[in-house]
Amino acid sequence: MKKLILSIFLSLFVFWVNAQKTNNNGFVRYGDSDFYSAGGSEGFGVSLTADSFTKTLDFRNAIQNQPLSNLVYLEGTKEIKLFGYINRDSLSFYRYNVVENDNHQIVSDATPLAKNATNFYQTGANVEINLGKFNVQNKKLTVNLYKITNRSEIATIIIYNKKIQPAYISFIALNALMKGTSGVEMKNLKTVANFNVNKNTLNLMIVINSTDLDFVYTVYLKDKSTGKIVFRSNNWLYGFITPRVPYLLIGAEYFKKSGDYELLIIPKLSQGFNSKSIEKSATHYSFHVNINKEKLFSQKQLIIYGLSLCAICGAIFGAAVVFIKKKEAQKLALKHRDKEIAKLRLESIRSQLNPHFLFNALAGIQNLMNKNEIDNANRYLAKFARLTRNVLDHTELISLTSEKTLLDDYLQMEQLRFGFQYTITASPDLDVENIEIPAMLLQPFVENAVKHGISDKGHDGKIEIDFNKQETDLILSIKDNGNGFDVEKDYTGLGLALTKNRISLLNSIYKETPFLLDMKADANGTLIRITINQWL
Amino acid sequence: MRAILVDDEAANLENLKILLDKHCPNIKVVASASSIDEAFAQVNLHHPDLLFLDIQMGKTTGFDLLKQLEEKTFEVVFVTAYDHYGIQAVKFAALDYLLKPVDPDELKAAVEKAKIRIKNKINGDQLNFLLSQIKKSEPSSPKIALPQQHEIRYVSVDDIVRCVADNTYTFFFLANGDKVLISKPLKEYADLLKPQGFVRAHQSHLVNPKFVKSWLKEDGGMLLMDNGDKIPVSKPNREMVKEVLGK
Repeated sequence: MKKLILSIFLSLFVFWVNAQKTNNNGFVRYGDSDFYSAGGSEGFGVSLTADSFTKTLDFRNAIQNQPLSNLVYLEGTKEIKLFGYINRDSLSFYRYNVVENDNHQIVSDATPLAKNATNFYQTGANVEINLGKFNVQNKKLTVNLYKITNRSEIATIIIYNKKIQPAYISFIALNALMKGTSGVEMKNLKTVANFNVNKNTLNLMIVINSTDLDFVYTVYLKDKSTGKIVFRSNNWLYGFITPRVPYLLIGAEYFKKSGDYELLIIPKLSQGFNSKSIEKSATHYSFHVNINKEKLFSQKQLIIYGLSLCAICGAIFGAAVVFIKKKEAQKLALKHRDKEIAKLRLESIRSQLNPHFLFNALAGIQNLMNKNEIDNANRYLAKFARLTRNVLDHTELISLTSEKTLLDDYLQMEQLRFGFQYTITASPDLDVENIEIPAMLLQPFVENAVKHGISDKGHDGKIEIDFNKQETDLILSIKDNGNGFDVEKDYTGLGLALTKNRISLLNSIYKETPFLLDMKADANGTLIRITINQWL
Repeated sequence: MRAILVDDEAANLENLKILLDKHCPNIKVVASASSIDEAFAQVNLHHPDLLFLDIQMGKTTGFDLLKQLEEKTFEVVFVTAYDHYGIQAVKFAALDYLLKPVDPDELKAAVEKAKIRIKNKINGDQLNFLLSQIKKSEPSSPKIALPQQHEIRYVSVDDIVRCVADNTYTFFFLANGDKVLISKPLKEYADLLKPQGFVRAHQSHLVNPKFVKSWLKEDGGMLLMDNGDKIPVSKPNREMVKEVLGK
């Protein structure tokens, strides 16, 4: 059997340490026996030895906030032996009690007896006294020592050989100074783990159920955003609720940042001489902190100020809206007016184009009548009427189908005079019935192709008109095999100036879909291409 | 088919008769009238199948004649020189019309259409509808005739949610959820309904702003309709659509 022995006097203990060898387990050896200092007072020290069933032995844990109190934590032990160390001359001055599980007194106010002296370890004036064997299986043993000349100074040794349970949080509260008083407002947080912190917040109070060994429960506060422990304490206080219920305070300065925090309560022996953590049975509690800036106003004031502020803001906002709307309306009106002007100018340009073909067309019909071609005269008259109507109707947009009909009307009438050939084609993927273009867009170019391009070529003259698409661009092209012209010069006689003017006006109306005019002319003919960007 | 021609200008009467004789041999012109009173008498005398009716005749109109005739057992083809208001009304009623000078090809087409309508006997209603629309000096919510194959639907413009082009056809989406297919291009209805506030949002879409819920920015611009339909807005129309909806 392994003999574990303990020492008492701190002064002596230091001496022992010098004389001891420390084994691999950290047990302190004295001679051939392992003994451990359990605690005691200056004049009466106590050591113990534990049997070989012992799995854990952590000795001389100073108990928080209780002077002259120490804990020996045991695991698995069945029996211990206690030894006292007392000055041989003052044996009769000391008394001791041994209490089992806080409710059963085994030794009552006993006087250490010299006859029990072991005589093995006597140092100076001290003698070792056998205090007896104790069954500690799953028990808590409390040894109290005192001197009859000073009964108020009691040294306590707790020998604990029970499983340590996880802490149970019975109550968590946020303490804050009450506005305008010295009172403290306590807010229960057990169910609501989300609270506001302001400058009146004092601390967080954690109350746990009373245990045999409160001090082994260490509280950690973890800032979840950084993962760091910002607070650590096992400084349990008593007397707030009942004398035995432990509570612990965490100052507001430890959670002054908004965010998530976690509270951990871990039973841990951190002060013993053979410090080994007890089972990791942590108790968790998470909470969220919102930092509230100091309230400058009372709620009532706040409502009043808030309302008046709202009213003022509303008034300013309203005024601003009215102002902006007015501005916007002005801008819109201006924009609208600009567009109207552009439209009107477009109209006037269109009517300027009319005479060119109106009178020539009439001349063509006159020719048919004089040749007695009544049916043709009727048909061409109807075509002429359609063209004229299109000009008079001020239609802004016409479908590609209508544009084709009008160009057909026009070209057929001109065919009467010049006998050229023409084709009007549309790419099959164009929805010619529903795609619209500005009315009279191509007319002037077609007119030019006829009059200045192929009029003197007779039946060899050819005009090709094509509607095509390239992605979202609409491309309208007019090609003739006439003699061409110098595209650099401004051919006022060709109506090109008017046409260019017209395109720039269209661009001021359809800003997002620019019209591009591209002219190519050489001895083989002229190619006019109008690209309307992103029209489709 | 027996026809009566009504026009206040003798030359036009003569001209139309020549064209009909030449191009439409199945039409027999039984009478021609140069005033409403004369026309009223001739119609009651001859009970024609077809009336070629000028709209503007001095201070009176062809519509006045129709008002006087209680039983409308004939088809009408309106003939007009240049009359925006009159043509609009005729178009709203989905009736047929010719423009002067008359194109022989168009005349032939109009006669063919009239022949079918006489067979189906669907004219009288449309004429009464036309007159009822004209009576309202300022029609707050005009109605429009939508001619389908076997019937004509008269729909309040306010009940049209939107129209969608399908080549030369137009789909009407009505407020009650009906979808009606009409064999006329969208362009025609766009011209009729734009003055009623409709917006051509896209080459294939004509929309009643009353049923537009909001403007969506997705895909460069969409109109979200009350029923959740999304209508594309093409780029050239974007500003115009915003302007109309902003009002």
